[in-house]
Amino acid sequence: MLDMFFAPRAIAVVGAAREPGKLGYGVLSNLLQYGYKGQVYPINPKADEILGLKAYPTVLDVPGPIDLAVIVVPNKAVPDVMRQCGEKGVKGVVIITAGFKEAGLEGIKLERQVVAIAKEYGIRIVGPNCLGIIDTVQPMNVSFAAGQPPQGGIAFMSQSGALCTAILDWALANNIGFSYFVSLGNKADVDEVDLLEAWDGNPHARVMIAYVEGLRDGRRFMEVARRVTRRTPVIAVKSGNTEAGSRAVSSHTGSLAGSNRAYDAAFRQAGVLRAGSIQDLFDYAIAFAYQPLLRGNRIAVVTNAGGPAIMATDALESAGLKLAPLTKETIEALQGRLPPAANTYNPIDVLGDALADRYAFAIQKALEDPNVDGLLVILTPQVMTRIEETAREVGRLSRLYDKPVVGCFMGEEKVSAGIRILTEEGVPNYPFPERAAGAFKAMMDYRGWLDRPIPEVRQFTVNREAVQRTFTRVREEGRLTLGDAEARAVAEAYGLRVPKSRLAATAEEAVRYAEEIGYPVVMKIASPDILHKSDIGGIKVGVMGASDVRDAFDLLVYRATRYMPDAQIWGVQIQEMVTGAKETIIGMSRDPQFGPMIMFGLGGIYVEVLKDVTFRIAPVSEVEAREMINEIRSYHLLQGVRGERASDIDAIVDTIMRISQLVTDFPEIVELDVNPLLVREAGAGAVAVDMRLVLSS
Amino acid sequence: MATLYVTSPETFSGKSALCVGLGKRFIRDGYRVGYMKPVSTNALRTGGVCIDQDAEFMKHTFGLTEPVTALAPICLDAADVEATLRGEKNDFVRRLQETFAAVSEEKDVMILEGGSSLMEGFMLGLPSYEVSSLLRAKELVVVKYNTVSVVDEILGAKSVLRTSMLGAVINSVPRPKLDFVRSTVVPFLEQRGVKVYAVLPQERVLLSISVRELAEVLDGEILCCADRVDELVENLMVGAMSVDSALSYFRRKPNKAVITGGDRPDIQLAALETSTKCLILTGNVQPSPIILDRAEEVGVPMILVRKDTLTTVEIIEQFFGKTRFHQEKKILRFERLLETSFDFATLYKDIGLVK
Repeated sequence: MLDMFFAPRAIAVVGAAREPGKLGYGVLSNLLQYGYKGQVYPINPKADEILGLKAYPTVLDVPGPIDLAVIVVPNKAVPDVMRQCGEKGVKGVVIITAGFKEAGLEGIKLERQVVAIAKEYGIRIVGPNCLGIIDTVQPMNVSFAAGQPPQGGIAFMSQSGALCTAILDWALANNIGFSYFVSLGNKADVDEVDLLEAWDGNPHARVMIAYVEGLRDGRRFMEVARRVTRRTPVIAVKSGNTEAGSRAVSSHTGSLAGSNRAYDAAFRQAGVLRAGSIQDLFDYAIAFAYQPLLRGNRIAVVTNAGGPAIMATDALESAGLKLAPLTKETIEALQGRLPPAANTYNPIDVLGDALADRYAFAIQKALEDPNVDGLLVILTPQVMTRIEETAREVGRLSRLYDKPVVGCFMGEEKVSAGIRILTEEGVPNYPFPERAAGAFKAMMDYRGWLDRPIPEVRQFTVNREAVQRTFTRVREEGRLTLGDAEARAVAEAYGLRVPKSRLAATAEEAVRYAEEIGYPVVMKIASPDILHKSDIGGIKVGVMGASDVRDAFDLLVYRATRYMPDAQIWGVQIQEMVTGAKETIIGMSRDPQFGPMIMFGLGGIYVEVLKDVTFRIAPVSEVEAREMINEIRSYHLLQGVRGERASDIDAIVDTIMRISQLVTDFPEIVELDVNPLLVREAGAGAVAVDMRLVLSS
Repeated sequence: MATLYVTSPETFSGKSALCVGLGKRFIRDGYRVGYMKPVSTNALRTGGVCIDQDAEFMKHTFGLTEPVTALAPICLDAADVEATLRGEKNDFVRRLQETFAAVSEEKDVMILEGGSSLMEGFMLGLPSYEVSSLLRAKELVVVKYNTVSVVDEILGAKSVLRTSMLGAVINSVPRPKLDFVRSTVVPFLEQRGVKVYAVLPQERVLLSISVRELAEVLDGEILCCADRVDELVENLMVGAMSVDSALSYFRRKPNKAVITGGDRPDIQLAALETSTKCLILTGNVQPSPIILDRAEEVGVPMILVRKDTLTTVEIIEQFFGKTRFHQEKKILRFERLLETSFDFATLYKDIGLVK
């Protein structure tokens, strides 16, 4: 797939220039300099020959076929070039030229025009407004980047071209190998999803990494990534996570960024590792690219200094990894050879005077130990430390065992030669133990993803027609929100348990309904304009007896009218009171990128403050629903504390899945809240007390 | 000839709507319809002539041939009113009778539109009941439902108008209150001799403002989609929150105008994702071109205003629900409402129109 970009037989550089310093010169000279084997045609109507190659006025004048055209002409000339490419039968173009969507209304129109021409002729586009593509596998460099990274296992895509150049420089300085380097620019056509699909199964892409500002189609991304991550790790850093950052993305891309929580959930459910920063992105990438995948969470540490080892221990533990408990044999072997002052338990401290041989012995014993899944080698440069020799030993031993080994050669000047050797030997080095721990954690997370059963979404028997009828009626009345009775009907149609409830328009009705339902009752103000009823004292619980019901009715209506004089007040809802249950909340908001995003958390009035909530994109499988419940900090409260009986967690799982099905079946539901979902003791079920639903217009 | 005087204790209760709705139905039923606004004491003078806006609109709507000045014969601006109070002589009664005679010639039914309250006209010696008796009209009182106090308003009207009051129309009743009004309020009024011809449910669209009106009242510049300025805005929302909550918030209200800063592209995009009729950008900050393009794509006008958000909201709020009933879309909607809820048969019988 995308062979026009990754296996073209002939390339035209449209806008090739004779003058060094010009973009059109840089691209052509990179293409020639970095060993592309196919035909190259410079296109320039004013030149006969550029860099020793015959130049043609247009692509149409080139005698042979062209698979790929790299376009560096000024933006206004791009549509004409595109047409010529279309006539010529060019299959793909890399538009490096800027001045499109990123540059105002005129640019937006120009980009649209270019996309329309591409559609007409079936041309695929990378860009516009991008750095180009570097492919060290063919090899092929159609970019204006300064230099080319060494060949390696990292396939990189970026929405920012400038970031590409910085990363490239870093890769050159640290000798980090890449297979593909694609600057996506404005993503007029080819986007992250296309590249994931194109690289899927490609042995040169050992790990795929991405810098993402926003996705065009979040659902498709999830679908493709879910498949790709089954055999290749995918790591992404997503910018625009803060309020101001998201605003910047919006004005940059013109699309509403999905919420940060939705990205978190979507990445997680698709097996994509989310890096918190560019540094993390590459920290993780080099571990995956150079080392075998971690099998378990037990890490051994070999060190020549105590302090860093303790730091490493803390970092590993807080990342959810374990310090490997060494076997008796390993400990005895270490005690046999290491000086008496050495620590032979994990972390293995070979002491400050350790030379390469002592390191090598400890490393070997650690890697042989069946209780060890991965190894971290810490080295601090001391007077007698043999830095380079030790680095070579680490490299040699790491290749003998199918366990990941990473280095933490700490310092800068003295250790740099050692780090260079480690990198050559394929051992990633991190300047500090915390970053090494981060890389191990990323590996562990990915291992967890691979070991996880493929999620299955259960289908319940429900009454879709009843829901459809309700929605039709609401829409006919020109409303977007459902009244309480309507929401209850929807909940019941999808098998949720709801309390008995009636809407009373007058105090006398309230008494009648309360008596029908049975005391005590809960009374709530019913108004489409008042969303947070408890904020205005609009709820009374445990109301007993006719006289109290009458008083409460008047009070609630009075409070509501005082709080919001213009509010439409329907009356007061009289509801059965559910006792002995824990309050939880389940919500759904339709994310512009990923669709229905389900939320679960502990409920009650503190929910907004504590924000102890977790998210998943629907449809949610049973495994995912259970994960949601396990994830919240207050999970232990649901398990029961101090002799309390555990809550009915199965009932919560069931409710989450039913709501997931409801919002999947009805895309017109844009907002939904079950608040509270009262969860009784295990086996006694959960009751959806209040449900709020908003339909799309 | 039958003469119906549509009047109300307060402004913006639906008088014009009812005049248009009834008139159109009469025309459809084959009657020759005339219109007059007998007393208008807060008109505006343009080019030396006092023109009543309602009269102008009705002339156009019913296709009347009489001059606008004949449709509002006693049309006074503030200066005229002051002159009257100082004692300037005016024969309003004669003017009213003569014009009415001319305007109602060859008409089967005359629709008269009342002023800003039932009290309007006392200072001219022409309170509503006096007009009714002079022109032999029957009053149809429109009241907007707020609370059960409509009962007071209607009975109050009855005590002022007495026998010339034909009956009442209860307008703009919130849907959950419809049952209560129909089953409790109406029988109560009828027991006290007030006939209720219609209980009309509240329709947001009838309270709406057009995008054009918004742009005018805010003195704003329309940046795109100038062909969509006749769209009607039913709700008003301010976008000043985080973008995550913006979507949930904006989804709650349909057909709205969203007020936000020109420098909030995230909020603007969120608004464009939901049912929005126009975006009002405050602080005179031009929006990003990429968002202007998106607005154009989805056909939502953007209005740039110089005022800050707070002032903008204040101005619009004063304006909401108090606009004149002069839009085609509102007329059609109101006509449909009358068809289902108005007791035309009884009205025809009571004012002596026969089909």
